Amino acid sequence: MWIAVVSIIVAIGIGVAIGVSRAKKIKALQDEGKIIRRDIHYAEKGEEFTSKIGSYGALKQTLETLGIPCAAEGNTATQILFSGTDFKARLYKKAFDEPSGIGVYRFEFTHWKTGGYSYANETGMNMLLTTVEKAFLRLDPNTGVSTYALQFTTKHTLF
Amino acid sequence: MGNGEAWLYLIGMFAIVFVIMLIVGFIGNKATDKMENAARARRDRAQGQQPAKPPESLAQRYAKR
Repeated sequence: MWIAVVSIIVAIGIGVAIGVSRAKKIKALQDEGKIIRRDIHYAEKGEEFTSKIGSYGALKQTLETLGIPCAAEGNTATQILFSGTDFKARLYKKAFDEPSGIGVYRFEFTHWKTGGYSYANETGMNMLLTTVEKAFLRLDPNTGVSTYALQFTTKHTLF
Repeated sequence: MGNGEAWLYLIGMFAIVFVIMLIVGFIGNKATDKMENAARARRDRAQGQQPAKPPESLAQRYAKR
């Protein structure tokens, strides 16, 4: 009997310790400004930035200066593809008004895995989006942002 | 039934139950996906009929947090 009681207490203790450790880690990242508190379903909406950032190259350079928290590939003149653990995203130029220099850029997650009640790599996704937002803010403090619904489907795999 | 046969029978039963559960789970997940995707499509269509919100200031968004 007492073995069962001790086992339950140990299991609860381990669960609490993992939860506290995770919460501390998230708090530290928030304090450092690497992530911000977001809506639980934030990846289901894309973000559209209206900004005067100069050239697209300047945006890429600023992102690199800030430190992209995952692999960035396929860097064409108008699109950056991000590939992290359990997620993929892209940042692309939607429109550009030559006379005013104002461009419309879209950032969206294209693939992600879910785990528990959240995203499998919520921290990594949040870090990437925060880095992108900060890059726009650094280049143009008057950047406007709006969201749009993404067209996506849920798919379960066997393994 | 000998001891060896009994074990074989037990393992076989476990394997059959496991495979059945796997198949039922997979079909259930696929059905859930289908319902979820249909519900999302309906919600997106309803939202698409609403006027788009004007962009907010990114700096203000960060100032709020």
